[in-house]
Amino acid sequence: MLFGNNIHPMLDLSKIQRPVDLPQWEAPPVDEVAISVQFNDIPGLKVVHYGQLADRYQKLGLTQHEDQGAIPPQFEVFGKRVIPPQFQFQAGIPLPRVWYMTEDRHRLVQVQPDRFVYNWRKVEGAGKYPRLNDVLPEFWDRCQIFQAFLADQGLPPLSVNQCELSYFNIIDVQEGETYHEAFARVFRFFNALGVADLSNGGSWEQDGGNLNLAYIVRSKDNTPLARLHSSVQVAERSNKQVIRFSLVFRAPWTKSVGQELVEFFALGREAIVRLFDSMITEQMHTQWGRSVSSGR
Amino acid sequence: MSRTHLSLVREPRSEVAATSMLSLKESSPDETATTSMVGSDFADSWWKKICCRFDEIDKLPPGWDGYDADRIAKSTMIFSSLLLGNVYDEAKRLSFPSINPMSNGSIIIEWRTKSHEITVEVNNTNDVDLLIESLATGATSQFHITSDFSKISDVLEESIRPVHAIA
Repeated sequence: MLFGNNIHPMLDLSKIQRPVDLPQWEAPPVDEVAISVQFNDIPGLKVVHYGQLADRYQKLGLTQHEDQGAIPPQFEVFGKRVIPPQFQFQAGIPLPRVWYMTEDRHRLVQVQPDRFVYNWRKVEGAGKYPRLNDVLPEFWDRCQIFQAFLADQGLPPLSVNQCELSYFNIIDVQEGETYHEAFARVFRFFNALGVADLSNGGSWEQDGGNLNLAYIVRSKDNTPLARLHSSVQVAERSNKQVIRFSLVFRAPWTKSVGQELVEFFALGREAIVRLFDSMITEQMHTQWGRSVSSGR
Repeated sequence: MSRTHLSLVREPRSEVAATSMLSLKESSPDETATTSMVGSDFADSWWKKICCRFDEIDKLPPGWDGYDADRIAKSTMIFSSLLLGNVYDEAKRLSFPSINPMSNGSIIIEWRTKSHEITVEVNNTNDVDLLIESLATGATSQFHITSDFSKISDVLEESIRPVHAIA
């Protein structure tokens, strides 16, 4: 299947087939998917450009706008030190990040001077997650529009330095269930005590907490390609207790936004799905309808 | 381009949530860091010097070289900082490196040991050249690095040992 039009280069989706042994779920808890590229600051990009860009996205139904603070730059680097220190640059007056959204907030483009993000978000009544092969062309198309806009404005092309694929899952904590019980129900690796007695006659019990794990994704020749981050956070949504289970595949990227990047995102999807699959209990796999089939 | 200020973040920040549009009430990202003895006086002093040096570089105006050099890109400075963070365990055993901007927008980081001169040129994000020169023979070796800084750690480690050939 080819996707594209007269303006934008074609995307060959036949090259981003799912591996046949990659599991899928009938009703996964995916709440949001974000596909992102980070690039070197675009010199000359001004606030006024955000408004002009809105005209182009309006035609795609992205009629709603919101200003947000810019996402700090994030780089994946590799080496001998497992946890290198992190730096942040505090900018004086940075350009904001702008959201261009559909009215139902179902689809979203985010633009800031060093990042482009496309989000699909679950919305009540707007159907289930359409799978990456459906979202990738939308990312591609909207990013091509952004790049065409930069060219029309005489601004330099994107010099991409990182790419990122994120899946955000929301898992309900059941009525009467503690976070600890929910963790144990959902996550295969979680076997810690939720409550324990102490010698003073008292006890402790789980109160909340986050779990963060990172993995390095390597090529066949052992070269580090990307880092896979997983995060389990307790949270509240609409006054309900939930677990937010996030999986992020982030990698250095030095090539353009092209077919190769889209194929790399497919590798990211595979890494994320395999990690998700390995972390979840059989009970939840059954509930969410896990299957393995040759497919899309 | 706005002024920036570099600071070292010791507490782990969230690596995963930035691109989400969802706003959730979350628990504090890390409640355990406040009483930790992470770091040391030496490390703090080393990092403070790094941050100060990048602050100085960040303040350079356009044309700072007396010609038409642009300001050094924020992304190049961040990437250089991450590189230094990644090789800190080896670098801390050497003299503090010289860190200098170049007219072409790159940042040069140099260590001079008894036997070698080690030059790391951060041209851009994911674009780093490593040059090793033997002070005894003048022999040089050059490597190109994208995002894996293991080779730089190896070279710095070797330069600490009383061995001459590190390339």
